[in-house]
Amino acid sequence: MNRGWYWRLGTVLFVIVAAFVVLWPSIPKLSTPWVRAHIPFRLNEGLDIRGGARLSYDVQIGQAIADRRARSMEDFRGQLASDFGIHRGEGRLTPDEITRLAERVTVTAGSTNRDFIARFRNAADVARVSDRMITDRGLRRISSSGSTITLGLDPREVTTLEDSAVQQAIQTISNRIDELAVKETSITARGETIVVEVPGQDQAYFQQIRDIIRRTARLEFKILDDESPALAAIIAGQAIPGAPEGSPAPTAHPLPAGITQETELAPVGPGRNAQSTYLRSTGPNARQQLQDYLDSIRTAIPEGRQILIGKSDRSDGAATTGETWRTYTVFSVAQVDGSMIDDARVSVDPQENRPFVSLNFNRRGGEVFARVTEENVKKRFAIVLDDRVNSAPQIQQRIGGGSARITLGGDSDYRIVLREANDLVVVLRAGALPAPLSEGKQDYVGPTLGSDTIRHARNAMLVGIALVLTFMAIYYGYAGWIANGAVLINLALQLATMVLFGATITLPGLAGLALTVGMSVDNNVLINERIREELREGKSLRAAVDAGYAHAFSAIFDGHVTTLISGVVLLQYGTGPVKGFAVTLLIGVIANLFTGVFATRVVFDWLVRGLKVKSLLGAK
Amino acid sequence: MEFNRSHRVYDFMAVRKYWIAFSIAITIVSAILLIKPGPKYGIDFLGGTELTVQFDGNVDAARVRAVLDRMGHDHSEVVPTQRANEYIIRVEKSSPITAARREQIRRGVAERLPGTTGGGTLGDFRLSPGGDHIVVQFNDSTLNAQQVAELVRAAGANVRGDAALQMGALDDHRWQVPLVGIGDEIFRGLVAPDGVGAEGRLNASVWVSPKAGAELRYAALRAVAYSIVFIMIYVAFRFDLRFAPGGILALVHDSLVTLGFFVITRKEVTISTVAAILTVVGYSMNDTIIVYDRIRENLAKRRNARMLDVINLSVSEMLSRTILTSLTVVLSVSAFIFIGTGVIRDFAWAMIIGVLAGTYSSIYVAAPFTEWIDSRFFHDAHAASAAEPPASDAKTADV
Repeated sequence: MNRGWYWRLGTVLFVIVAAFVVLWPSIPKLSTPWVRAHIPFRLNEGLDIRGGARLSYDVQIGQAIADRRARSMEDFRGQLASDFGIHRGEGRLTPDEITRLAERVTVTAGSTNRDFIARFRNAADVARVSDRMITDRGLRRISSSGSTITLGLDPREVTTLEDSAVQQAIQTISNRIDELAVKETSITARGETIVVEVPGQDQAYFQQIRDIIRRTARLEFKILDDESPALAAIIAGQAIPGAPEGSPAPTAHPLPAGITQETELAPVGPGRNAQSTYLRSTGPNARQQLQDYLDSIRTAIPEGRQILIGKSDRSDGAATTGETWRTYTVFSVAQVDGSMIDDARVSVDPQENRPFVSLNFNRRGGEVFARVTEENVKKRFAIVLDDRVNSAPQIQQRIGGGSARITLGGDSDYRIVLREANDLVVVLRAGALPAPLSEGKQDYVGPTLGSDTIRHARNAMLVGIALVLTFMAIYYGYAGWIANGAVLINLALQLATMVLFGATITLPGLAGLALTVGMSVDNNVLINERIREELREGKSLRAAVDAGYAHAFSAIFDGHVTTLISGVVLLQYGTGPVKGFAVTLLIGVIANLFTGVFATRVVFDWLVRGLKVKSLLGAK
Repeated sequence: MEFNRSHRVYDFMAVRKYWIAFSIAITIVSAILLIKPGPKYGIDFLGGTELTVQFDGNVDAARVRAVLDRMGHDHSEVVPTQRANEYIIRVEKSSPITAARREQIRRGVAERLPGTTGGGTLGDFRLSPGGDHIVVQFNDSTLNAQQVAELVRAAGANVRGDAALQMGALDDHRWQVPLVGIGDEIFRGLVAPDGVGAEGRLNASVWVSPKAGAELRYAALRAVAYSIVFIMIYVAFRFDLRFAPGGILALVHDSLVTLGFFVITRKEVTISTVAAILTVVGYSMNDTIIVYDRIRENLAKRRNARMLDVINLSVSEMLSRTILTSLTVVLSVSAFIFIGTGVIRDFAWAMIIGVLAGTYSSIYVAAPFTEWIDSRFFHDAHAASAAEPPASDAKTADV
């Protein structure tokens, strides 16, 4: 036997041993507690065979309606700004335009989550709000008096929103889970409750699924208003400069203990700086404390501004117990949002050796981002994720080409940051939820199928495999046993790969495994039949084996390439179970080629070259 | 052992007319069946009702299943929860309510509100598709859970229990009112004297949405359509343009026949059926490619032979392989027909029908169609090359 043969034998043996090691802990009769403790791989059985966790979430439809109202308000502002000649074109309002618009009209949220109030400085301007302008936006007029008009979302719009919110939430959740794993997961709605069932017992995996589902993943870029005197004025109880007439008389909002008022020198345009006021709090409850205070001053915050919270990167050295959080005053218009993101990936900063998430804008996003950065050079902008400021870098120059980065996790451990980055990429790619979810209870459920059904299916699988093996042995004799060996290795290999991918075995999956055995003998049937044909043409066994493999390979190759093509396409365009099927298909193609062609050849070569067998497959 | 030991060349193509007619007929019938009456979709695609039942005595899952089977809910799922003797039961049936009845209840609620203290005005009113609950939302209301349930009951709805459930923010005044429906009927059957033999409580009965809605079917269809395009390109490159349409026709034939079989036998189409059809598509393609490969090889060896003779020779040469492979595939899943139950037995049926169709269609759909395309569109080129023996023939005739 030549050296090449030994190499091939080595490869086959290595793969067999590797597959066994992966499967070892999942075979109760062969594995010991030591094996189970030291080899982390497990065969995952599906909800139908094993059961799993049942997570429930309520879609906060009321919040989705409030969000729609917020968008309608922005839209309405934009229309008024155009009517007043303040704004031109399709783009969103710039900070400057917002300030100018506030001198003519203010638009504020109403008493319920679906209406809002426009207060004009000049009562004559009310006439600008035409019926057409209202109905075109899916709104209705609730009341108008003097210079004030109250508008609400059209009830039909609300109904459509309610109908679609749950469906969209399910779609988003399944996209996220598809990005994460190939495990079979059931996602269904019961009214406004979404139930996600995840197979297995792995607590860490359940936790990861919960983390990923819970995130709304709303990404927005907002410009900071570092020149705003509002925050300082609200705290002191002074009138905010430029506030509309008729606003309620200002009252002081003293800071509770634990929150400090700070100023920083912030860039607000080319060559200009301003003293910007912000609030800061340190300690275990810092974030909640700031949030509570901001909630209490919400009504006093001027038109078109928002005060958001973010983690502060500046910590005062020794005295830090817990995290430091601070506020940012921003323009509430999101200049760029998650819908303008094309792709998100995890990258590692080579200098700091720290993972971050890099975002690529799509074409529209890139254009908008370039324009916004050009108009706001030397100002700061906030990257806001789920209403929390992630970072607030300064715009140095117009940024074309369209990419941005999100940094993560303060000074935590590299692995934690990496996991956080991976989770964030999953949710950003899968898109934002249409409404926040409130998490219900986590329960455990047993298998959906009865133990009898499972036992019968297992037996049927074993009988099916045995039938095929027996048939092959009868039909081909020794060569049949070579094929049978290949089929069994194939089975082990496919199972091991499924274990490595974290795929789940379901009951139809068991039938699929039996089917794999039936189908994978096709390679050996093709080869063996071809060898017989070559023998009939008078070739020696050795030459016939060589020619048989060479000629049969063309058909095997084409058959597998077509399967490979459909596997890749299914993976690309399929969702949920179709994707899981594609993974199994692809694993099958590779395993089939390896065992049916590569591994059996090693044995055939050994027989005809090493042992110099003369009689095989009916040849004398 | 060896099939076709005599190595005869059978004239498969002589009788092709009848088989082509048969294939066309069976494909058309299957297509019609798919439109009307259409496949019987299961809970995966249509949704159903989910009950949560707590039994007072010891009741095992097998007992619950047996009673459900007897009541005619034979595709139901019985899932034990972490609490003893509590089960989540999913059945396919739901209790939808007609649009007229829905409107009647809505009007009833809206009309009663002005006369109710603290009623406010009616905002949203929605009925769940499964008829298991109503969602009502009021503006400026101070009603409590009991008052909301009472109001909806007075409007003519068959309300279960005496309290509504509040949803979302408190000031949104959004309530879910459970209705009596199929769940209660099933529960009564379970705790009846001839039922599971224990009393119990029906903790919840809700309509559950499909696991895989229309989007899964479309995703599967779209993915298959795309893979057909890519495989056609591959076949056109690797073989010849003549071969591609036949392969696709065979594939469409096989999947339609398999689905048609499901419609005729009223077997339920589930997510596993989608997987089975995808497998059939893969098998059909693979089998056709293998027959094509031999036709291509023989065409190259016999440049002047008639396409029909080459097909006969190739199919005959491959006959033992064809029988062998389809036999092993059928053998491998046949045990599920006898030993398996429910979903898995249907999966096995789909595979057996699909594999038989796939084997047959390579011979009597793909090959004759390729021959037809060859004679119809490429014949002139052939005739020309046959008429004047080209000089290059000498070089390539050494096969």
